Amino acid sequence: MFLHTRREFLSTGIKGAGLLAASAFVPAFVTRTAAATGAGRDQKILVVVQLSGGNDGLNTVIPFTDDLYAKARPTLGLTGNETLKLTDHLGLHPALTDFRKEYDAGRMAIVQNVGYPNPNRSHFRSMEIWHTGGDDNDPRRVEGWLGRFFDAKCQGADPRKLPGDIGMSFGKVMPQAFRNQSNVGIAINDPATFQWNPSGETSTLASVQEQIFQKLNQPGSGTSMQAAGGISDSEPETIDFLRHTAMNAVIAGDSIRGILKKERTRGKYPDGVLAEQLRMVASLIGGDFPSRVYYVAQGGYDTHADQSGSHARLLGDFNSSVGAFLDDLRNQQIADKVTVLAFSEFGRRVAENGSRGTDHGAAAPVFLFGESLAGGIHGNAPDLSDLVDGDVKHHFDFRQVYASLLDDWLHADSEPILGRRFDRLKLLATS
Amino acid sequence: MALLTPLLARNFTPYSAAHLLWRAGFGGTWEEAVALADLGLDSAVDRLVFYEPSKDLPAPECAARPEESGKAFEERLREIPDEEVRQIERRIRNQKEREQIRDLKLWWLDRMVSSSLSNPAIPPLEEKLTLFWHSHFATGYEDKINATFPLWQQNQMFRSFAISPLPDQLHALIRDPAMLVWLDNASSHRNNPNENFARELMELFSMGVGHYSEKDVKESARAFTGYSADREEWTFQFREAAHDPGEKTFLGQTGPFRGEDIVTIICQHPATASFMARKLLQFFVCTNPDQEITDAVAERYRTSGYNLRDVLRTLFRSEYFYSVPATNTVVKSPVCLALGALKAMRSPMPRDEVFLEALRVMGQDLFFPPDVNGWPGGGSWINSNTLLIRYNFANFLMHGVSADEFKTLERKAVDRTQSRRDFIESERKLATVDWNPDDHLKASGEIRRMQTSKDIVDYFIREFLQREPSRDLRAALLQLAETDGAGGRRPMSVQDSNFNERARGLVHLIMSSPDYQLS
Repeated sequence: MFLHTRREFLSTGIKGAGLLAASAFVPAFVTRTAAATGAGRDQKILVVVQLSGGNDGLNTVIPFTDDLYAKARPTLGLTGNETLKLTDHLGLHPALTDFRKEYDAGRMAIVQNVGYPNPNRSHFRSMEIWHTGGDDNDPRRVEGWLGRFFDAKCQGADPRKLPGDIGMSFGKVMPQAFRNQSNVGIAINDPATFQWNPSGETSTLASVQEQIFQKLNQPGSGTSMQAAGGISDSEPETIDFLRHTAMNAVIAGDSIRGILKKERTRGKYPDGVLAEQLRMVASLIGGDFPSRVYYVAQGGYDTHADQSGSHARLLGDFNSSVGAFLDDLRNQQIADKVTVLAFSEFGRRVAENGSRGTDHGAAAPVFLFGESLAGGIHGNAPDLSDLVDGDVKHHFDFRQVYASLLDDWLHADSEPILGRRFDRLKLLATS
Repeated sequence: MALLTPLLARNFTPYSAAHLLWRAGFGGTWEEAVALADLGLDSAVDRLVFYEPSKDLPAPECAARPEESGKAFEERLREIPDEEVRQIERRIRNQKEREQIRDLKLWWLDRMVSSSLSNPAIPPLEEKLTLFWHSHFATGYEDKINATFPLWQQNQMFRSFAISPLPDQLHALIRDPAMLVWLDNASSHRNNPNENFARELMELFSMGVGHYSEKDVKESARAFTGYSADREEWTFQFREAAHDPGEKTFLGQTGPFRGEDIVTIICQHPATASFMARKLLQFFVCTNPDQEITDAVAERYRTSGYNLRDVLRTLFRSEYFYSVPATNTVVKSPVCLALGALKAMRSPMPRDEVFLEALRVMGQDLFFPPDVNGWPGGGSWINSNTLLIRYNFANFLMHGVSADEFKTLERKAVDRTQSRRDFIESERKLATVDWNPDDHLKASGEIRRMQTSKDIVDYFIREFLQREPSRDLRAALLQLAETDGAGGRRPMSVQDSNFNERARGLVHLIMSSPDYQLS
């Protein structure tokens, strides 16, 4: 059958996935959306917060009794009384007041000294390593660890019957972590503009335009899951990729606006991009949007000079945005579905530089939030007497964190996704 | 070298010329493509690459140094007792700064869209290369610079050395005040060298990762200590006392190196020509250049003493440049997409923030690169968000809305039915772009040849897409050209009272096709 306008087939779509799957131009996303309203509802959700630029881990979780810390940070160092003490030796940066409450309630896990072998101090390469899950000892990878998670869910299954496993990213760029074979990631900057506007002077003409727009952007048939790898030097492949992207966007946009219109969120969010993105994430989760992974980012952590004020502002924004998000989830009574992972591409050099800032470093803590976590501090404080090139050595591999989340939270086998077996950490209370 | 064999002269058609104009410039009108094809391959390429560099361009007004320096401003502020007055003063100054950077963007975009082979004062390839270097040596306004003068100064440096050999470019770069401040080298001191600039110089600006060690980064950072800038005058300063004059060992060579020596050693390293060849190919030729063509271009680049003019001339004449993997496979950058459309429309640069806002949300905000890696280009221009914005930007170009209305639509277009009505209403009040298809037909002298709706469809495909359309695309557009407002079949004609409206809808759809995103 042929459906004339996008709205028409969307409204038809509500009636059942079987009908949708029969139509040649319905992208994979829609069939999975339709199916997911039943199957995907109780699935666990991961929200990733990327702290871009290299967060100074040592001034986030502060080893205030360590003399070497005070010595390395003559102007930037914080004393015990200035921190929010977690233990006799460790304290959080004073801006992290909401995190302190989560920590006290056992809903925050801090994993110390996370990194990877041969740390790379380039933002781009290190970010790529975190996104792809392949370090310099592995063959170079382009696909993301979450993208491979999406692919694993698709593998061997009938694409028309899959639950929704798309990834949803807020921001102007698609994170490399989402890159995969099945092109199911969505990147949204502003949901309000996430639609194609016809220009016809009458509604009839507008609907003809919409129909033609769909024709121009109709992906090739039989390509619902495994086609459209991206831009290549083949014109037809590239055009098919663009068509997939356009169709997925148009349909996701309608679905997202439908959910956001209902204003489910119940939280007091601060101003700021991160808070706004997390507010939308909370709405979409509350509205059963079929995404298992959400991705948001906060930039600015590349604090080479005059770090103290800017770092406090960044952490304050991070703290109050995530704090409001967690409150919102609890108010909506969906907090048990969600785990938050916050990471940065590297920590910073132990010794501050001459510009009252810090240069690129290596291992650093990662943060997790959620009700199912084994809260508390995992691992020891960084050993500042045993550095490599002036940087903190890694004790945990970041892929151990990924493996724990994949196996124990998302219930996907981490080994094929990460390429090898990594020892899991006991991050979840039940694991 | 067989890969760089010149194209057979007789295969250089108007379509090839249009392709050349898109890649070596920002596109053009079909008329310009035909005229370029008439010159023949060799003369056409020579017209593009043998231009006179714009050495002494005067600074536009928006790039002037502020009358009151930042320091003087802060001092004056300290004298003001009333906090409210201080806040007003700050707001005025911030507003002025915002206007200046906005005007600098408009100034450059205007220059790019005005670039043309028939205008020797603004060579298209020079502006295209300036854009390339702006992304390659990416420097941003925000946080550290916050002033237009140093960015204009840098922009003009890129322009004047656009087609110069790489060593000359790098020697200028290491003395560029904006760059030294942007990558924190200005405060780098021998007692505590800042590695940021030294690392990026190798990783992003010349060699690429994997060809140097962490030790090389640390040693070269020492060589660059003291390379600083005056932040009021924005001049280069060498601070002798901050410089580390000691021996350094860098990429296997040892000596009391300064920054200039580091550049020289980098340019001797074979990785440099390979890395740069790949970047040039990705920008000018194809998204995924294979090893063979990269090696061929790198070889040519290195053996010619990094003669960029020679390399580009060879590339633009090569069979490879006009081959299947190199044509219609590169995603147009937002700047190329927008300016190419304006050129095809024969429209001037709209002096409005809405245009800038559109570029920003499509992912290319000039002077605000995402980071020091610049705009990665290729597939990264496209995601579900940016592709929709590209399609809706086409709507804006055709129908025009004022800045406020664009923003309102951006933020509030929640209900589709309502927003369409608003949108059409706002079209009537078009403020920034006022494009009339019938004027376009008159200017190109083709209006009399438009006998059927097929003629009209083929005309706009040729003018805007500038290549053979796929059968599907042409058929879909014909369907639109033959449907009237009531949904009945009525082929469009230039005599129609609503011809302009229908033609705008047609071009909007051409630009809402995947085909139009590629050049």
